[in-house]
Amino acid sequence: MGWTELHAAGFNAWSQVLFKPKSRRPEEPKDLAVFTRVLSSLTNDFRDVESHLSYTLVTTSSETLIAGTIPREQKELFSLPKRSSYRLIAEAANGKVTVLDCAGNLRMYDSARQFCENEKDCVVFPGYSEVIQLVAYEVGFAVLDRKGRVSTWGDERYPMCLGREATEASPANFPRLVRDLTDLPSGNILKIAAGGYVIAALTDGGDLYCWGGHAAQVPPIRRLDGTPNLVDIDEQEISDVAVGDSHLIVLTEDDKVLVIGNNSNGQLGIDAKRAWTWTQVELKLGEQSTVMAVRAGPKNSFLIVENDWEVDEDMSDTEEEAEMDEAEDKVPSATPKRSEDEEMRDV
Amino acid sequence: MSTPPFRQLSSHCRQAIEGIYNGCDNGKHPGELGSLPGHDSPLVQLLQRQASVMMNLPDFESSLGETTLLRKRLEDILSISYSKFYHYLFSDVPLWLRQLYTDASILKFSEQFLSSSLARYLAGGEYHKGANPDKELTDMVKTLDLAIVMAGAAGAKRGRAWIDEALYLLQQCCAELPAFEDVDEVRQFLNLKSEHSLPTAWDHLPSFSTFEPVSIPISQPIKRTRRLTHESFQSYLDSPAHRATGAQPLIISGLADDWPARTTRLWCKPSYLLSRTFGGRRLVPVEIGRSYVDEGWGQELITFREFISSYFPPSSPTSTLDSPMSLPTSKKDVAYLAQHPLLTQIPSLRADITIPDLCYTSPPPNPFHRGPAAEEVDEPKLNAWFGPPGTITPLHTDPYHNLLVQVVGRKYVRLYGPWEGRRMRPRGREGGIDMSNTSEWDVGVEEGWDERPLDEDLAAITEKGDGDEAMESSAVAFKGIPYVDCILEPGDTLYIPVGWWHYVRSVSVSFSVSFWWN
Repeated sequence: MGWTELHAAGFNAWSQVLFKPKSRRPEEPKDLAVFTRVLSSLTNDFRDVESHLSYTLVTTSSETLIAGTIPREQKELFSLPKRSSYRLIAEAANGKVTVLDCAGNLRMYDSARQFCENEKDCVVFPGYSEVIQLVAYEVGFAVLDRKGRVSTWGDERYPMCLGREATEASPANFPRLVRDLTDLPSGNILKIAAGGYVIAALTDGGDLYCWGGHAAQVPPIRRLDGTPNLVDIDEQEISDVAVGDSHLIVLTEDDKVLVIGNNSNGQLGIDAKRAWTWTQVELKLGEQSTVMAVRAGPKNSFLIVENDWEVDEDMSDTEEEAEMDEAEDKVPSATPKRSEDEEMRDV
Repeated sequence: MSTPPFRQLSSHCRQAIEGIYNGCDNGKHPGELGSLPGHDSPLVQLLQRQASVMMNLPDFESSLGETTLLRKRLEDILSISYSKFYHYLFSDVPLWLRQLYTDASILKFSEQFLSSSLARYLAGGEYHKGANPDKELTDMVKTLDLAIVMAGAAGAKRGRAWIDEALYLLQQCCAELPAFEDVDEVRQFLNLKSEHSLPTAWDHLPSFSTFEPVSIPISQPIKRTRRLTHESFQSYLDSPAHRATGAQPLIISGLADDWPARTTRLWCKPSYLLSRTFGGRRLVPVEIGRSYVDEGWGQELITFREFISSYFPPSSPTSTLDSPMSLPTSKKDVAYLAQHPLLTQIPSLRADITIPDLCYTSPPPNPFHRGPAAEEVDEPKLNAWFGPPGTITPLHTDPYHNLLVQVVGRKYVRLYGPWEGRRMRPRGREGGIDMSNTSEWDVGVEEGWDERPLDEDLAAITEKGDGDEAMESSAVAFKGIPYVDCILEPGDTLYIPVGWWHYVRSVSVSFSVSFWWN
């Protein structure tokens, strides 16, 4: 009988990766420069982690743990009652919200506020009862269905994120099939992930496809455009992928964690300003520990780690604290040179 | 004795920090961040915490540990808000977001100034070896210019007025330094004096080059007139020769003869423009590339000095200067400071011109325009257009009447009547943006002044089968459309009636100011 742990690295300005009582938090929380255990002894019904700009939600079958600062509307949007009345919920960085209702309709709202004020005030796309995954990127959404079909829609000014042509018959703001992701050599798409202006899809055979991009931003990976491209990471099979604002994190079939992209807030968990190529993260996990999944917030990353053997249920807090302090102190990248605001220059 | 400028600027910063801190309280202070509709409360809260950190710092130099995280967080807020700008059309970016960016910039500037070696020195402190005051200044100016250009320096309590004052005081701080000239360390500071920093050949040029790489003939000259009174211009607008077409374009001379920009504070002198732009440190947005409809065209923010030294031709093709003039970085690169409210960004330049009183006439609406008219503007909208020879604005229409005043150099303008309609081949929606005010015709290419962009060539060939033939018939169609044209000389003003298609091209180095009104 094992237990699950959550490890995190990266942006923490709202203590959004620290699941600790308020009084114990430092006044101005630092980012975590290396992957650090932030939650342990979770029950085995641990379901998922999703991280937004200022807060992180950890879902178990019975409750939702929240770290960080969550605005009122988002708190309602992601509350358990809403989670049980809708099959899937996602919020894009531009504020738009899409939910999948039990009748298989995708319902899109202008904002979480609009959703809270009137759940009927939305655009409805019917016929999506087969959908198993709904993800949001910066200015739009993608869904994956049981048959491995991916559909995308979003802001027409960023057509590369659609992974398909935007035409009159297949407009940008309606969910439409990404044809390039059908009949792939390594099987159907099993999983999708999105963040920033990048969308990723993983096949049955462990191939990773990515598309997207923004004309004024440095792309986190090479060969990023409006067509799903196969991303070759030394020919390794990929079992999980997560996408942040400007970084990606993958888990390989042989349990390695690799990262690429911007490390402005320590989201890669490595000691570098940026990773231009896929870089393996050296993790200090016990022998019996295995990374089961990777997740990403806009500027942070998470590992869901499973332990196979029995230990004291209650990890001593002092130990955890010490670990955390160590991570926070290792913030070499947190000394920005004031002139180097790269992103500002790419106007 | 009056308060020294560095003390004034310090207290200007301290007040802003406190004002921002209080303004972030939810719903308490009208016009402040915490009260603006739709504001993102976690981001506003993060900004407030940074203001609080700054209020509690006894002094900035001895608190390095805390300022490291503070700088990082201010940078985080700026980059997060900047990425949110892309969620909206430029004109639709909500006020709270622009003000968040501006207030975060004001905090960043305050931190930069209060911890700078300049402030420390003026306060009677030691000079730090290894300090780079010139770079510090450039960074400080950049911080505030980004807030002006990206976010419109939004904010009722601070905003543009605060920023203008801060930049003024900062310049005063620099001006104070020479008084200490006998002190050894101060000499190192003296290269701060804006006019003397990074001296290049530009600072000694009597005027910009008048070189014209392409000669452009006039074939259908626009009517010219001497200086007009407000009344006679109004009657020109009201009683056109042809009632159906409305008033025609007109060149008015003498309108700008008494502008300081043309008499005493000459805009044709590089050194004058550099001195008005904090030694060329002010950031300006420039368009890089031949035309905004070309592939690979983009906008960049660069310092005024970089703009001039990288993209402008040397004084004349045969000129011999004592130091080698830096040539344009790449021959293909053209940079154009276009449609930018430069005179709002730099108020001291605004004092060099006057708004022509002809802008206070009541012009008729566009007779060929269906649908809602453009919103009425109370004051004329001023834009600066400054660039090397060959910078163009492709054929397009504006929703305003326009007086285009030529201040420096010569500019070619060609106009087509608003009744030409479909013959002008208006563009459609491109990349989610309505481009119907821009024509598909590329005047420079059709007339042989520019090379046809490569991608267009290919498109024409694949579409029509035979590229040459398609282009030939296209050229015939284009030549058949009647137009009028002119070359504006320094001091000329061109009246462009609302709705007229116009193609504008600088023949030499050119600086113009446009006044839009309705």
